[in-house]
Amino acid sequence: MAGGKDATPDATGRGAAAGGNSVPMARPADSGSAGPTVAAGGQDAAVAPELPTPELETLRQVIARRLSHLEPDGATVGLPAFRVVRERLLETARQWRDAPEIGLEYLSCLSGVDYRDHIDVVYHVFSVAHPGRGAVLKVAAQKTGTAGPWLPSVTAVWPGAEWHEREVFDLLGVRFTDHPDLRRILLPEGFSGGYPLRRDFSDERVQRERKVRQR
Amino acid sequence: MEAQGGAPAVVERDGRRLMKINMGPQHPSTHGVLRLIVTLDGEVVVGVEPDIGFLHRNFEKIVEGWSYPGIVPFSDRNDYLGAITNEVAVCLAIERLAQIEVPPRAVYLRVLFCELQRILSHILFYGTFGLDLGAFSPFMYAFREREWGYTLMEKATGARMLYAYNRIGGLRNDLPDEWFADLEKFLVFMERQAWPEYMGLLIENEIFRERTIGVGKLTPEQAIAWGASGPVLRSTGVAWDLRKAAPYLGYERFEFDVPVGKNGDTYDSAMVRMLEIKESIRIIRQVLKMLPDGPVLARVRPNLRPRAGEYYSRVESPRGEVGVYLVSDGSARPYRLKWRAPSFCHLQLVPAMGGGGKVADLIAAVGSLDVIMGEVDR
Amino acid sequence: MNIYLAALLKVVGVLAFVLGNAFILIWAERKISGYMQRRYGPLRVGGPAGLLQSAADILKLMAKEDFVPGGADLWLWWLAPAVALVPAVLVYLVLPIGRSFVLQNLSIGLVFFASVTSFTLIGIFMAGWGSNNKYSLLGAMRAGAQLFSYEIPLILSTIGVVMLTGSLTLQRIVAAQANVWFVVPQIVGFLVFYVASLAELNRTPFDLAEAESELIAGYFTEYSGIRWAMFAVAEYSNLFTTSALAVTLFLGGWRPLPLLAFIPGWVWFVLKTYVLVFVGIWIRWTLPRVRIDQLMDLGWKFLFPVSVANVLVTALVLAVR
Repeated sequence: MAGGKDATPDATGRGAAAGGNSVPMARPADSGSAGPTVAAGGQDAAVAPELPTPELETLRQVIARRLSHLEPDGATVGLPAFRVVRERLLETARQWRDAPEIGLEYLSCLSGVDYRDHIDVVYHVFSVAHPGRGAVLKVAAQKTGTAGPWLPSVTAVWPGAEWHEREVFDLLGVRFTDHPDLRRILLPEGFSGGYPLRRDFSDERVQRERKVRQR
Repeated sequence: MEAQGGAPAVVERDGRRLMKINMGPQHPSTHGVLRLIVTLDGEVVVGVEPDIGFLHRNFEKIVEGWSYPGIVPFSDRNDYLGAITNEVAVCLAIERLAQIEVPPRAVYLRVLFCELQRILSHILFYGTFGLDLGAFSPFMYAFREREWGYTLMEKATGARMLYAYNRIGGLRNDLPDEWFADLEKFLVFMERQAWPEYMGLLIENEIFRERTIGVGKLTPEQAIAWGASGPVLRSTGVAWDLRKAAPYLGYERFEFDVPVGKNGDTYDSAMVRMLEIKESIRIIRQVLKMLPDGPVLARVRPNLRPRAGEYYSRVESPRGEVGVYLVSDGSARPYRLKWRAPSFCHLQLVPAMGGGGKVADLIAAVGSLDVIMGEVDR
Repeated sequence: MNIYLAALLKVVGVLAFVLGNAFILIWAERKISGYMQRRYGPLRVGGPAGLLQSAADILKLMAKEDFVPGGADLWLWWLAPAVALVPAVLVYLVLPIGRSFVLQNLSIGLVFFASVTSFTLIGIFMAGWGSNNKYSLLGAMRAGAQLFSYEIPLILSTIGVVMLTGSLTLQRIVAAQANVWFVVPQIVGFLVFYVASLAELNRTPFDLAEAESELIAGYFTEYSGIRWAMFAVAEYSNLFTTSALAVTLFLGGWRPLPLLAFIPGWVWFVLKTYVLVFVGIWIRWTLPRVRIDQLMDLGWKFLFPVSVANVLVTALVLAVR
């Protein structure tokens, strides 16, 4: 099972590189200043980008009106995006699926994004009955706490989330509570090198010259 | 995993003696390296559990260290039978965030190549599906046109399978006039000779119909809930096609139908794909008529830095909905790129489709999903 | 001494024919399937048409390691290919190849044929069980069910011919077709016989026992090298002998077509057999595979009643006449 052992966060990926030929596969764990704060939605959350169709605009207003606990998220282009707290995720997902004027029953994608202090899980949901509708739901899983990052599973609402959540669990180490079958999915069963999609992951086995110049 | 290593060959459940059998990762009809852990009661499939990850190469992590132009060719490797659609999906996301205007000729040509790719992919599906059902000859006939189509692709792009043809901001090169004449010949042959032959060789065959009708049934509710897309979803009768539902590349300009099935079984799934070949030919014909002149590549600076933000682009690949969730932090490399692969979602349906049937039905069900393990495992 | 020499000659002759025939059939199948699939088939080995391809294959297979899977039941494993091959060779004993050209004109020729071919199943089952492989086991189980189910219509369909002739001797049956081949009065019997024999031979659309896309190779999944080759030779030998039996029973055996009597009987016999073999190959490369329940349905719910009805109708007609 996953989570046996976290990779020791190698804060300076370059440190390892300086020692030998070993260069981390991804870019160094931390380049500090150019952090991901922008993408995390902190900066221009106030100015929501324009939506391409009036139908999406309506949907955004409907969601904002009906579900006041959602916080609009400004980083997403082209779709209305909202942020929800972990405790109300499941309830929000249900409303998104079941409320007739929202009706987002099709979970297209579920992704995890590591922002160093927390992991965002992003749900891209659309409507098959109303092809113009679609929205993004984000929820943060804090890394603090003994249990590590965890979130409630949305498999009860969108069953198709099952494997997506397993993937996020496998590659980012987010535990999903009430998931029917939370096991590794892509990595080998005995893998113990940490969570590859986290920013602080470095694979010491990869020895390859970097193709892109350091910023 | 249970069935690994010293797993018991026989398990007892409810007084029945069941056999666990490992189908794959090396098996003639698992389309790559899919592993199915199948529980059998004689010939009847009691349970099936797909196990994936044998082709995992952490595409998403690798591209976090790459510059944007490098990602496009690498994305070919995900769905290697729908390479163009992969490229288009990732290019659309990058172009949207970097606010790059693609020249109209390139947009039309992208449509053309997406549809050509769809035809070639569906041809291969036809061949391998026949193979799954024990008919070998249709496969060779499918390869006749596939060879031709790949030669066309090679003439246009320089490669037969993994094209690296799309660039951020357009296409690598324009096409000579003779190429369009070749394409027209191919389309005519496809339409007049190949397509009827395909139908006669396999789809209309009585044994084929017996083997596929009512096998691997899905309801529309099931398909939507589990995130099915493309021909699998359409076979259940849901007319959901991103080219209509959320048009990209200006698909709204073209006139075409979305073939849908009725029963959601493997026969409908195959039939939808066969009809889509015809629709794709229709679209290509329209592209050829409407194709404007002009450049095919916008000027894009090599060290591209899209603005910070995130975008989710969706493209109807031959297999279904390919999604690229791109998070940019304004640097020259993506902060996160998540690949939504249709086959990944479809594999979740295998227990629903294959359970309860015979072993042969399971093979038919998996075959009808047309999974590409390259995009499942990424 | 003379008897032993003759017997030895017969044995050597049959073995040579079995091997040579398998060579030709394997080559022909590859060429014909190639032709049907817009391919060339073998092209390089032994002249322009790849005539020696089968020889090259056999050499390659003989040179291969004799691989034994872990946990195999060694005796069953080793004996299975032989047990499958022996009946395939034995049945040549009773085949009437020419007017006076039959190795042993047994009075129970047809029964001998039917009972000996049933032995193949034992070889298949030994292979499936002895391999210690679940796919092999599944394949063997399928083969068991299939061969058992199709044996019955196969034999029932020949009974009409036996009733018309009043003899089980194959030479007599051929002799009885002097005026008209039994395919005319026994057309139903012939069709049932041919379909059932395809199933007996494990050929597409009834190749469930070795269904590649389901069971990899069925009962011989674990076999390689020369042991695998023995299965292949047995299979092609069976293809020939079963077609030969169909020719003997229904298509006049070695009897020539009118006006062409100057061609010797054994040529006719081989020629007719190859025509039927060709039809088998043709069917194999055209049709998809049926499912196990459909196979059983066809055997028990269609072929079995039809063959019984055929026997009844034949009996009625004979009684009235």
